[in-house]
Amino acid sequence: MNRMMRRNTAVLLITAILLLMPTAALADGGGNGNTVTANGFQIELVFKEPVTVGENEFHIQITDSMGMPVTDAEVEVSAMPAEGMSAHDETSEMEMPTEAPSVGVMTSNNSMDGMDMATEAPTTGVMRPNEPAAQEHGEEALTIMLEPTAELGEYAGEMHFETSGEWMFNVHFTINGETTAVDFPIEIARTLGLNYAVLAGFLGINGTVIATAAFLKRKPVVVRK
Amino acid sequence: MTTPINTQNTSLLNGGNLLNNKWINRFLRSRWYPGIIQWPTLLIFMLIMFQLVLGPDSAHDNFGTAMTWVLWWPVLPIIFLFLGRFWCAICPFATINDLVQKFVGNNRPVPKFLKKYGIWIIDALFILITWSDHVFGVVENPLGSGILMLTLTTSVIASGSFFERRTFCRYVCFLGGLSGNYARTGMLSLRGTPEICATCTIAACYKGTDQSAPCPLFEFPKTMTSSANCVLCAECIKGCPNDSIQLTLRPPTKELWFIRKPKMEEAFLSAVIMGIVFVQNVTMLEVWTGMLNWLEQVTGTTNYAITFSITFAIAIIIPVALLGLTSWIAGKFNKTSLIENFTRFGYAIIALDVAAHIAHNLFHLLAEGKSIFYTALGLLGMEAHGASPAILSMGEIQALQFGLIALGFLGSLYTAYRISKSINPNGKIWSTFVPYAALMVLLTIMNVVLFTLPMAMRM
Repeated sequence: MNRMMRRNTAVLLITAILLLMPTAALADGGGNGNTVTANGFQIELVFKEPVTVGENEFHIQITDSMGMPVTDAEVEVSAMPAEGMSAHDETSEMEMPTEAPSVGVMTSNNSMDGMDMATEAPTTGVMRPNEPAAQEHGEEALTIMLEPTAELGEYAGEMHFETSGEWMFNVHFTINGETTAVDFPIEIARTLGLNYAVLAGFLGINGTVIATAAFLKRKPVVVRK
Repeated sequence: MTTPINTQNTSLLNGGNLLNNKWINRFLRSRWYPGIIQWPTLLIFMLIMFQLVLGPDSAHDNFGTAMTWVLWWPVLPIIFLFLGRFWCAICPFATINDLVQKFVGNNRPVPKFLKKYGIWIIDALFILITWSDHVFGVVENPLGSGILMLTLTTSVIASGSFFERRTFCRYVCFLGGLSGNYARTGMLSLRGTPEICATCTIAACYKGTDQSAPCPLFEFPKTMTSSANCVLCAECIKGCPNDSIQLTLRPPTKELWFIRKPKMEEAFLSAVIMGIVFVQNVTMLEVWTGMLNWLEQVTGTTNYAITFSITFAIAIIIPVALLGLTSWIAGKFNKTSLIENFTRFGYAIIALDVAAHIAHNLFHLLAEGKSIFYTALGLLGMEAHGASPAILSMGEIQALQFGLIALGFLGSLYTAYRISKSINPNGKIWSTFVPYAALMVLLTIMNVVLFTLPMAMRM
């Protein structure tokens, strides 16, 4: 009996440790800003708050080689999980940096040298079989047009990120018919508030049920065999 | 009356008692069984729960998602086919039920309404959970899967706290209804020996002894004619003082040939499962987007809950209606009511259900199987970007799928024939059988068509 009790206690302890220890899967929060120079322009990406899963406000500041704000650009931004893009080493010619921002100049038909990210949703290759049919089930890039703000050379928008982890943020803007594109790798922090709330809720309900049962057990009940 | 079993001198592969094998006998009678499998399963389950709730929020990085929907769910019907409801003996939810019951269990009797409407409740829950999965995206959302698991955990804790034995598993678990139906096709059968049980007055198998627990699912091997509620926990083997219990191998689907007390709700569930397999397949096909667009135009709403509910209802109604129509046609020949034919012949669909269910999930298991390994690497901080999760190629998987569907078709066809034969001992066998044979052909064709189309991944 004692041995059984010890075994059960050990199981309960392990269970408690598993449920309570902090997760190793938490992602680091990304920085708020990032600047890159491309095609003579300086492009700065600034998030209002540290980037998290959900809605994120941000703006792009574009200045020319003289340091003057660029006010007449058409700015579009697209984003997709970096993992989905890294898989293209198997399936397409696109090469995507994961550490540093990258740049490119688009031709008039909007296709960029070696890249096609903004106009075509790349397929996700991680954990997909090497079958054409399966590769078509890709994750689509989120794409939005930015609106100029009252600040000269500043363009703002909101982006909703579904998942945490590494994402590739692609900014491309057109000035006088010439399109410039830059990539910003960003790290989206994980928010676990809801998860802990769910866990706490269930723990509370289960605790209440068990406590009630323990209380009622004192009263004898008829057991039908 | 139970079917006499005389297995003393029969080979194990030909209906002989597996307990005559000393290794199997020792293992099942050991105090370590089923705990030696049950407790590690519970620990793995804890890790899965932890991952689902607090692990990566992307399904294809989540070890819990991979273990649940790429390994456990696809393997489950395969276990039912070979080992009956053995899974239920080691199921972590059942273990939690037993654990809670041991410490705080009130052991109240099963509520009467559960006994009366249990399988209908299971049918409704099964439909509800499948519907919720599609509308709320349970499978592709680790937290959603975690909430489903936590809900089940809370349910078994409540059941174990207040009610006797495994009330939840027998009368409420949505998987239990599925398992019960599928276990009837299973190749393992546990029964009492009628000649020995006839003289028994202590019913240790049902009530338990000092050395063994009572049957957790309220079965009585002495009169048991179905494996639907036998989880092979071996408590009856340990407790029987007369060594009456026999464990035998049998051909798949054999139990379906002689259902003594067919139940409408079980026959209904078998048709519903076929509908659910249809809907699971359809929503993973590339044509689904086109169908959804068409539905949105017809209904004038883009609300997915509405458009999916319509599809879901149609998919479930199709096999139920087809079974009903076939039963009505067969009734013209065998002069039996639609309800009676529906209830009896609904069981014939189970073989095709199991085959279609395994075939559908085989895709996930074999096309995404390596994701279990990759996500496990992720737990250790390693990554496997760009690697294929496929174990077999699509061509090989499809060949297996069609092979399974063919076996399921033969199983259902033969079961329909045996049921016709058993209810029409004096003739009219073929006139009863032919409409059901046509139904099986039609359901098989529908499955084959669905399996020829490309499917989407879970991870």
